[in-house]
Amino acid sequence: MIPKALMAASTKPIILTILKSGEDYGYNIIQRVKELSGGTLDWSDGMLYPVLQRLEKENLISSRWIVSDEGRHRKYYRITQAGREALVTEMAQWQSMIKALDLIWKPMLETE
Amino acid sequence: MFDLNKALSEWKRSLRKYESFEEGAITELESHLLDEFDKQKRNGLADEEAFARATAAVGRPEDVGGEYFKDSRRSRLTTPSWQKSRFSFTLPLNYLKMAWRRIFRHKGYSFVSIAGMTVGLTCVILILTYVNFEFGFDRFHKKADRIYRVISRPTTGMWKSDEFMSHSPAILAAAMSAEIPGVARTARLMEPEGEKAVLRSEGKNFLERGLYADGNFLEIFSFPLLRGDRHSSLARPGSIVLSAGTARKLFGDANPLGRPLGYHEQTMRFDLTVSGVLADVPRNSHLQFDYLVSIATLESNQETADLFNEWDRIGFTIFAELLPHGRKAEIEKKITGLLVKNSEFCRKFPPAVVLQPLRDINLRSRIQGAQATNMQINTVYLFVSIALLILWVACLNFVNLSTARSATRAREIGLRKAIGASRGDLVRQFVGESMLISFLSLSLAFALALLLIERFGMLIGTGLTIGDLFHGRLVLAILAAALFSGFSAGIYPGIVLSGFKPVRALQKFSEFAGNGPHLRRILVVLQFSVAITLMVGAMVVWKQLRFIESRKLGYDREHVVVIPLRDQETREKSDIIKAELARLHEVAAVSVPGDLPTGTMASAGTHIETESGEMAETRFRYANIDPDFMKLFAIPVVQGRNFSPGFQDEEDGMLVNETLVRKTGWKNPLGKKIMFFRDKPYRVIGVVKDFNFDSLHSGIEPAVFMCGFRQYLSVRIRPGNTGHTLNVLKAALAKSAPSQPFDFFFLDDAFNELYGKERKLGEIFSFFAGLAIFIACLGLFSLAAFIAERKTKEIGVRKALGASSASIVLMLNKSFLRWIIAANIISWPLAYLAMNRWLQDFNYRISLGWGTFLLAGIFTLALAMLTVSYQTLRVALANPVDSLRYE
Repeated sequence: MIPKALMAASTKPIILTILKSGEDYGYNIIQRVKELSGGTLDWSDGMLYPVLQRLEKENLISSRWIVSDEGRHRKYYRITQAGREALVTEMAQWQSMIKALDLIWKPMLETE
Repeated sequence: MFDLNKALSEWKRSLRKYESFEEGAITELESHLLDEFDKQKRNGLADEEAFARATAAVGRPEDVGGEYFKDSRRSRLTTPSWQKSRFSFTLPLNYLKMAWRRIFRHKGYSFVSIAGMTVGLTCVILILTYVNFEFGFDRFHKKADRIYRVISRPTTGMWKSDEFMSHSPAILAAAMSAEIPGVARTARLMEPEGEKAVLRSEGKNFLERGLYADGNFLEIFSFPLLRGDRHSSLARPGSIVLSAGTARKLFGDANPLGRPLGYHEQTMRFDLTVSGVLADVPRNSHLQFDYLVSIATLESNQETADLFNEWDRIGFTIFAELLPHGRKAEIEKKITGLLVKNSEFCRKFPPAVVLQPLRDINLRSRIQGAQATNMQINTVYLFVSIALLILWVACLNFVNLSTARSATRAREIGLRKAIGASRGDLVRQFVGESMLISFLSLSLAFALALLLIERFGMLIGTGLTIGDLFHGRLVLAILAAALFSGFSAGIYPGIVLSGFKPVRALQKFSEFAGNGPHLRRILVVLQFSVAITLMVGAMVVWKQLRFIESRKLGYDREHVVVIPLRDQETREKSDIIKAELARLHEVAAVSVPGDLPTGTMASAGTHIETESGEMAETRFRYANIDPDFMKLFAIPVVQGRNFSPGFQDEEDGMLVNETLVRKTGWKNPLGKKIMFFRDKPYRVIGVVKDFNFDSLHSGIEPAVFMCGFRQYLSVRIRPGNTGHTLNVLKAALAKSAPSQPFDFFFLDDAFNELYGKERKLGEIFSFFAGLAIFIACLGLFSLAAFIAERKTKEIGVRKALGASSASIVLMLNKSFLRWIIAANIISWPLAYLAMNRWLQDFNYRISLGWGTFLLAGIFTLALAMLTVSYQTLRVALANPVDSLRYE
């Protein structure tokens, strides 16, 4: 199981990545996370919304309300230019982290 | 049947309990929940099950709400209202308000707690101020941590001593600077004989206290120089640097630099020029002086020049400033090496040399010689212990009263617990209350300290002033003491009272009485034990002082006026002065000895003829006297005769005391030879009865008396009009010795000064014992009031059944009586051990009998009974009808 702190750290790049491919609302975002991560990232659904609110405050995403065909009020989120730039930075940071961990673990994995 | 709309609105209501959910967020989550609900339904679940799964997927409202809160909060420290707070400012404020109200509602108890704590904290403030003052000695010098005083003691032979002395040969200073790496510079100091010398300006004489100081002195020490140059002011012969006060006294507001000044000390007269003015020496400097004469003045004087070239002539105090890398131990070794190499005496009796840090001189030196302050660190520790004991007694008072009064608080505690207060909350509340009392007391204590500090300074003989109260370090220590006492007084009642079970506390609140009577008994016993121990201490000190004062010393010290003769000219005329004074009707006898029987006699070691006729090395005390000395002090000559003009024995004769005769084993002492720093021996012409020439700390040592140096014009005046007699003496002296200032003291006072330390100790013990008893009685008084109040009903019943008022008072007083007796039993052995140890310091001492202890016991018992009886009588005399109607 992925620890809470690591999960929390990864929410920002994951949400930004999903929204990069298009505008979407909370329920769908969660479904896509589960789908794309093959069930590895098992977020508590409710926890997504405070994160979306924070990202919006940070101006990385923007939102609008849309009433669905079933008459439900849905809030749709889209990535902003600042969000795209933040995503590039995030990706670079995570990739260097993964690379560093790879380099550190490589000898160990080889001997095993 | 499951109703989706109802379940949904209940779920939404559960969200709204948490203020961080905004309506928008709730709508968004609702939409999410419904999407999930649809999904679960599609998977074939029934409505209710599908809804349960959907709500579980969204998460617990408090967790999601907590996440929203993180974004909405202003400070990272705040927590959502539904979560346990880490700190809430409103609660302590409420506690403070409650505590404030309690203080006013229970004025009597609040008074006792605050008064006790105030007295305790006042003691702490006063004593910490004193301790801070003592520890601050000599620290104002910039290089204080690199300045050392050279002290030494012979380690072998007849001069072997445990006490260090600060006297060194002058020549050592230059050798140290030149030959020992690590020594930056040295400065020599010397005191004039008799500490004071006469400064003469414009025809007026001023007797001032001063020092001869090296040119380097002002470079090593940072006494602020107001006028003149630090490097050169003391460099040349004939220079004098004055303190600002002395300069003002001598020259008024005029610039004193370059002004001529006559200087008169013993045989020496110098014409000096003022070369600098220093700010008045701070009180916390161990070196105290009104002027500094350049040591070069002595060096260039023919009479004293020899002092500077010989390794065996000691008499100078040497201060060394070490380089930052200077290694103390190595330097000490090298100084010893220099002394052993050059001094014949040190070769014979190798010394142990120590570099004593300047900062230790005030509190940690036990030395003989110039500028020895010898205030022992133990006295400081004793004071601190006493202050802490008093504060402890005051804290016990508070603890005792708080737990005793817990009965009345049981309902409050029960209620607070019932509506959700945790034990921690209650402990915090109680600690807060005692903190409030402690800080209220602190402000009162500070005001009291402002009023008392100068008086206290006089009591302990340090001259503290209000300014001494305001030192950063001191204020912090005082605040810490208040915090500590507030905390320690509140934590115990807090823990005890918060342990009440809420239901029982609410139902039978009147049955509660804190932690039961045992604790209170122990606390009162402890309080009184401290008070009684201090009281016995005070009584023993006073008894010993009275014993000393009334002890026959073997000489008559009453009505003797002593005038130290300040210059050689006057001393040479001493026989004429003596004859003139002896003619006066007001004068009974006159003598001009070089020493007085009040601890001024020095020690020497030379050869004495034994009974078998050989010369053996012996150590003894010696005094310079004149033929009238024995008559003046009424000391009988028991064998042989006194000095007599007809026999020319002022030159070669010596008197000895009985102890010397006994120690040397002489059968016939008359005519025995004594060598004393000259080739021709002295002969014993008489034996005087033993008398105490030191403080009674030590016994009578072997002593010799010879005619020689004259210094103290001692006049026994006839009892009666002392003021008139002093005026007559002044007039007679002004006529026969005009250069001699009329500066006198009574021998009695000099004698009493020998016990100044003990007197001070007695006064301090009495002062603090009184305070401890006051606080303990204060506590006892309110405790008695409380117990009497709680027993009102019982007393009413007893009286209704026929008990007399007397039997009720007896019944109530009996328990208190037992406590005080227990306190006596605890404190007596403690006081005995402590005071017995203190008395060991005296060669002549009182024996510790039962009397003192019994007296202290009876006194405390009487005081306690008086305190308690007021309350017990009040309830015992009350009408039982009122008592029974009481609840």
